[in-house]
Amino acid sequence: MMTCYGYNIAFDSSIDNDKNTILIVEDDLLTLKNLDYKLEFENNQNRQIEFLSNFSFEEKKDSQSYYFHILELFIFSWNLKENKITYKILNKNNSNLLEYWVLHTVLPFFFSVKNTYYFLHAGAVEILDQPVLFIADSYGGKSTLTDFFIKKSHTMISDDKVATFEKDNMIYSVSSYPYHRPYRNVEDLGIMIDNFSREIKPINTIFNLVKSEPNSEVKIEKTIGMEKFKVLRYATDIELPLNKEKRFNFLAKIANEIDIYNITIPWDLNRLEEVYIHILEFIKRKNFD
Amino acid sequence: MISLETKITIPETLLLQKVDEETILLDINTQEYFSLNELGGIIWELLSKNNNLKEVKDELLVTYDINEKQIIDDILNFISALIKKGLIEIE
Repeated sequence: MMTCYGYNIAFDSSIDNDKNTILIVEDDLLTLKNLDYKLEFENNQNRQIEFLSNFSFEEKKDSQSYYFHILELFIFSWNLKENKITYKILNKNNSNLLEYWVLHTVLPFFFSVKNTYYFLHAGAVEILDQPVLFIADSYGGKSTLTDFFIKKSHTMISDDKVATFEKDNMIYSVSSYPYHRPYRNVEDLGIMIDNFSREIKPINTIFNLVKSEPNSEVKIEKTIGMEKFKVLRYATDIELPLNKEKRFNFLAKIANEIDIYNITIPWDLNRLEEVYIHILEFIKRKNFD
Repeated sequence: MISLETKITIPETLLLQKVDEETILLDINTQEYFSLNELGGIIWELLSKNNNLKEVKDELLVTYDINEKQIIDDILNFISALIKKGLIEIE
């Protein structure tokens, strides 16, 4: 059993279900019949994805079920009441991809639908024992910087999806899964990481990486108001037409509770050490002040 | 022609939140968001409680030290901008 997103994930139907465990159970009888509500996604793993339900996504009915269909690969299904995801393998030759899809994509959808977490597309590590997130545009250096911190023995929180939630006016990050992918293979969880955070802690800082000329100076500047909100909107990982008001309010809450800084990243791998030192010193000073 | 007698309807699909000192308006249908300046944020909050522009003006006059003509111009300019963006409807 593996701990992901703060829950035990059990790919074994013989395990007892409890509130801290999510069972992932095969069900060959799963079908996509009588599902009138459908959203389609172009996924970055070169797969076509459909997200379906028997009721409108705006509603949340006790008898509502959700279906995550990866065409020619898997069907996953869950409801709002149980901590269980059932699945059907559509192509037995690709059953080895089950863990990837469950951990990387289906669980974040599951938690987003249940409104357990708000997911940010970010790399996250601990700096001085506190979570620090890196967000960026595509190919903006997020994975490279996260990888650099991991190699410097910082505890990893997430490779690219950070689950967040609010409690007592604090915004917490929850570790995703203990894999790190410092390269761009599709449908690949990456390398298993031992130095993986298992604690849920309040987020200290979010850095928005701003890709810059190779010879540019490393600069850190605080963002405020709308600029901060835009950065977070862009980093929102799963955008679904449900819980809209709650999600907007939560995003504003993150913006109000967490310091967000733009950091210029010189586009030169030889200067990553310099960026690393800047961030480290900055967090040290921030915590001291 | 908009005047203080114009009746405003704020759609339920518009949500408001404050981030730092800025007011952010989200249209949940289109997912577009807008930043309101300080006065815009105050007018919007008053409008949400009472969609009568004349009462909004009276409340602003009590709270802020600005002359009446300036306040009326500011309210009407703000409302015109919201209508142009399709954010509110007039009855």
